[in-house]
Amino acid sequence: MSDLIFMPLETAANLMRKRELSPVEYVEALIRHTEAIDGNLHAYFKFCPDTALRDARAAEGKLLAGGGSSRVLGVPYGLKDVIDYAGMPTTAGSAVFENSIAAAHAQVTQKLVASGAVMMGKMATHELAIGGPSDDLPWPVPVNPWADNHFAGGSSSGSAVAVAAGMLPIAIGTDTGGSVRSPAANCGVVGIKPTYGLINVEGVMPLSPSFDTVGVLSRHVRDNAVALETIAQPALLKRADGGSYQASVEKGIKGLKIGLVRHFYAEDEKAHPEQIVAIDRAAEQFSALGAEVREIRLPPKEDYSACVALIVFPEAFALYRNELTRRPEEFGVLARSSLFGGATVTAVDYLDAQRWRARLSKTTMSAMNGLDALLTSTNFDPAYSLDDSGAVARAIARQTRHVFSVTGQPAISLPAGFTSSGLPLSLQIAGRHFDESTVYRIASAYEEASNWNYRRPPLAEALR
Amino acid sequence: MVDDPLTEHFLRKLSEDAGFVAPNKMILSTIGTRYIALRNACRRMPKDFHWGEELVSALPYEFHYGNAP
Repeated sequence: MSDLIFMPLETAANLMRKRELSPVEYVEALIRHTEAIDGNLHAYFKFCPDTALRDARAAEGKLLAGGGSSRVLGVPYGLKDVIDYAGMPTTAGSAVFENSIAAAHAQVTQKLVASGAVMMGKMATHELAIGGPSDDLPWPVPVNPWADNHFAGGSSSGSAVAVAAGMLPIAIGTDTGGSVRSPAANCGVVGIKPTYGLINVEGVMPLSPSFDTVGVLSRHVRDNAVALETIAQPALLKRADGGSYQASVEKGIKGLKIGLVRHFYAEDEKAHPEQIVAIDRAAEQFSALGAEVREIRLPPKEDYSACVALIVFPEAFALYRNELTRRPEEFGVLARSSLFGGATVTAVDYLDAQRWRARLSKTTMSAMNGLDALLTSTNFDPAYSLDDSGAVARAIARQTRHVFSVTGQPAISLPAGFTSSGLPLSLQIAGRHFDESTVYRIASAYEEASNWNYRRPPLAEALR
Repeated sequence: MVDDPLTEHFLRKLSEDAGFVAPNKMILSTIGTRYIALRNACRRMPKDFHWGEELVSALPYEFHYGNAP
């Protein structure tokens, strides 16, 4: 039974299709595991074992009747609590929206429900996907399963914690300025921000419509590809190599050309020494696997971050101005202080920032001429202690996630080893727009060569 | 920061224009801190934008929010 907890999605789905594993048995194992450990990790805002068992029984019925073509039939998933599930609250981690019940499924939820996946619950998020980790909200702060009292990253914190700790094989998050990739990096899992527009965001509480994307967190690259295919818009998925991300992961990376953007984490600002070594080693590994890796330069990472700030904050303030100005005290301090900033950006500066975004995107794509993908850092540091008072500011500043939020390119964060104290390290691979296939292809080759994702977090094991 | 009358007057005007009714010291102080941070972000922006440059993102229009197929 214990093998079910950390079983890859693909393995579980295959066993279920062959009728060697019952979806009900699988879900019951995850429910027991979650009940044993989530009281300490706080990945879920709303854990829904009854809904999960209902969905699992329905999946079992479909499998007994012949199954169908879905690759996620009977597969459990969680939804970041900014994504609507009809009849459940979508709180966005905010007391302001605590009683806001979704009237209908989000588009992404509809796709998962139609595919026969099993809804396990709503996952913890930073308030409005921007303010956290916060101890002044009605929910506890999620804990990184790799080290007690350490930051899980955010804002899709609960999604990453649940996947890392074996409570779920996949979880759905959102990524505006890195909210899938940051917790993926901190928790040692795989997290993709797909190309802007690949996933329909209807029914997802917005933060900044210019950047908002829905993304996937998983322990394995292949599982991530299966889940992304399930929720992608079919018309855009057709642009994938062979119409499938999964087909591309088999191809290896011989002959691919990868640009290493080293100045971001080794010159613009120095990342943690073990993080620098991990990415440099990964670059050598890509070369050993047959790719051509060459160093390139892009504008300073601070330019991309400033551009994101000048667009995200005014858009978010405009969206939530009614609540922010009338009931400011009901927001947590971190969300409130971030969102208030939007009131100070002029319309002229906002529009200039959009023109800057266009320039930065063009510069980035020009630098990618002749290249298939880019390799760089995700976060500059491993997870901080939650007792570290300066950690929130550093977690926001010391990263290169904003680069691909600005350009709208697909970008994946992958485990790239561990520090000497056992905390996950990470790297980031970005591809051309709508070329998730190549991103997965490179990520999968690295994952197979490194096998970092088979190590299990000590807290998840100790609490069982 | 809000102890200086001129600064307080400016931040109060900024806050009221943004929609806050009778903003208290906490609101003024937060707005003031964020104002400085975002002016610093503005200082990184190029100053040579041409009238013909795109006013929205470089991404194809069909993929803008709400327009995706």
